[in-house]
Amino acid sequence: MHEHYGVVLAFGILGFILMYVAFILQKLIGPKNSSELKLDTYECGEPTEGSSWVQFNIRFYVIALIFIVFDVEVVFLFPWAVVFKDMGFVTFIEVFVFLAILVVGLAYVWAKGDLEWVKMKLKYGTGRYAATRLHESESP
Amino acid sequence: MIDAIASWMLQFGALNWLGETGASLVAVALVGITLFIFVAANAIVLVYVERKVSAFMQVRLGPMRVGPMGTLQTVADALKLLVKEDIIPQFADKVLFRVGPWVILISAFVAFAAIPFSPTWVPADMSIGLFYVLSVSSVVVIGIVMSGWASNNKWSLYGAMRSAAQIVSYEIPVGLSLLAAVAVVGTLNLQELIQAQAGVGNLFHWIPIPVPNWFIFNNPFLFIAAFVYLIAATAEVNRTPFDIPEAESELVAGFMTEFSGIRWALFFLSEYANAAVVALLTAIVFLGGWQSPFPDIQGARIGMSVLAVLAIIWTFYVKVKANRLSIYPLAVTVVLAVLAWLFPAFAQWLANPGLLWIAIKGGTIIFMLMWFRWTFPRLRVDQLMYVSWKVLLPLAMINLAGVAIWMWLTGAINLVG
Amino acid sequence: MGEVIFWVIWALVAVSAMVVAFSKNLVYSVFSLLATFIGVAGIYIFLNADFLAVTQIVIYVGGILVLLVFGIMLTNRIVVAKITQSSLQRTTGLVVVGAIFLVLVLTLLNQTWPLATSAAEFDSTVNNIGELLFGDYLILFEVASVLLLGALIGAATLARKEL
Repeated sequence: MHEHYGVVLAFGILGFILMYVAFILQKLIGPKNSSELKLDTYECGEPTEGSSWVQFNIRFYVIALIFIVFDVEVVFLFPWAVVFKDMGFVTFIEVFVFLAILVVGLAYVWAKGDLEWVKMKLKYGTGRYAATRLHESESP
Repeated sequence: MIDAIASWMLQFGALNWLGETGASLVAVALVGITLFIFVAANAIVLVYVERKVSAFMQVRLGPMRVGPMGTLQTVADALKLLVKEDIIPQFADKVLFRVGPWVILISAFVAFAAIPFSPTWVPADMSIGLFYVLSVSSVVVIGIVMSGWASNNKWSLYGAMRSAAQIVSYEIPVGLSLLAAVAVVGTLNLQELIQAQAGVGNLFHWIPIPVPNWFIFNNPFLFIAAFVYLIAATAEVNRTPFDIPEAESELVAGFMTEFSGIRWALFFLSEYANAAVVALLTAIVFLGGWQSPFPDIQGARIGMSVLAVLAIIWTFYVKVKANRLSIYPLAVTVVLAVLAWLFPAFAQWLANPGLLWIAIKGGTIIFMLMWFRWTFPRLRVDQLMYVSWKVLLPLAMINLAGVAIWMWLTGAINLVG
Repeated sequence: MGEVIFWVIWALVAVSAMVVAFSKNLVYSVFSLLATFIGVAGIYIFLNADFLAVTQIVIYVGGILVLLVFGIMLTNRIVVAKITQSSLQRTTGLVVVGAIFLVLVLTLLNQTWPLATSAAEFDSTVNNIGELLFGDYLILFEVASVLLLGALIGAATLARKEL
């Protein structure tokens, strides 16, 4: 078994070395005339406004939380799939129990709207947009 | 495979000084270098093919200037990347900016270690190969976030965050739909998965249409699971219509915006390496991997003839519908069918399992990915989440339960034993 | 050679864990965890636990690490964020940490760790894990899945409150 993962390690190291050859080549033949403007952040030609390391919306975090729980459950199902054919009745019932638990979890977050990317429920705009029907809009 | 090459090398007296360990190391290095060349060539060829396919789908010519039919265009592009200046923006986080692309490339390359290319060619024949490939592809997301954050660019960070949210969302349907196939044989070893798909049988075991014993034809639920997998995997490798992380019209190039030259080539290589892994995995798990669709010489002859008949129908259809004479598919299939009938050796070659078949199947899937690109418009972020959590995930769960019930009904599992 | 690789992996885990603990930059801490997790997966391989190693990559790298990244993206001004604790309960902290350290060391010393440097001939742990999970430990498995359901509901509720 270990030799298989030894191959993986060797592949990782080899991939690095082989690609690094290209980097060395680039260092040898690539041009080196850097300037202030070249090193600027590219934001479509406009001068950069503020830092990019801003606060992100919580929905990314919610998705990741839900993902982890489902991921763990999928990992539990891998041993199940391997022994499913041989173990008969128990594993057959087990998958339905397990999937039922998953479905309850999915139904809960679905019903509570945690899977909704756009949380805004306004049908019409406010202020001077009061008359315009809002389309679903997305902001990061 | 490594052992075989090592013992083959030790047959020569001149290499005896290597010893057992040395020979194995050299063998691993040889296999690794071959696969790396394959990954690099794969990217260069696929970019050319993608540009040509895109062009033909839009009634253009595509690259035509460099080399015959533009075949050297991407080689020239790759050389150009090598002679570009290496720019690291001054406000970027210099360390993570350098490390990020490597994480993506190495995790994409390492996935090939467990992929079987023929009955004997598999660098590491792991007993949990399928799970391993899934796990190393999930490392890619860290590399994406790392390079996006390090760029200190708004486009990059938005692209990286969207990409991460997208990849983790689609990982669940990917895992569940592959599990449906695993449940049928009860192994995670990719070679054993392929070996279980040998021969020819009835469609779904009861409709009397002869089809290869591939898992996609094994039962109706696996048929759906194959498509769930293909859709979710398209999203996992950030290809159109799921390419929001690098949506040109909104985010320039997403997390790749600040990268240039050889550093950008790392993304370029790993993107196509990932596409190849997805295509090969689809071929292995659902389409029989290196198994030939034909069981024997007679099967190959009949199969090629059926293909030729289909090509004739296709030619007539195109002639009537578009008033265009599309002669190439017809010519190729008729020639192949005639060859199969004339030369038993050729028919035998077609019936043999091997690299040829996994290449054809993987190539077809990659062609489909390119076809998707010009067929479906890009999804919005909220639609993306909708598809993953509210369509594909329930569908994948139903498939898994369906496979279990189907196996019970058809007597593939014994509940009392 | 196996032993050399083992110690290199061990060093990787130790160094990257130090970076996690002592880095002034929160983002470096998080990305350094990548090396720690991969190194721990490597150590699992040496313990013949292949399924556990791959699970480590899937859940910790593919899941927890992404969650942590999203977590720090929620904080404003990541780079200058002050992450050293100014709490003064040093004595209590030392006692607790010392107790945990003692328990860990005792466990480590009382355990024999079969370091499989010779290629032990066995296939995979996934079959055994499956048979045990759906045989002897079926009830525990059920309890674990219900616990996960609780975790999902709890996490979703907590995250929603912050809106």
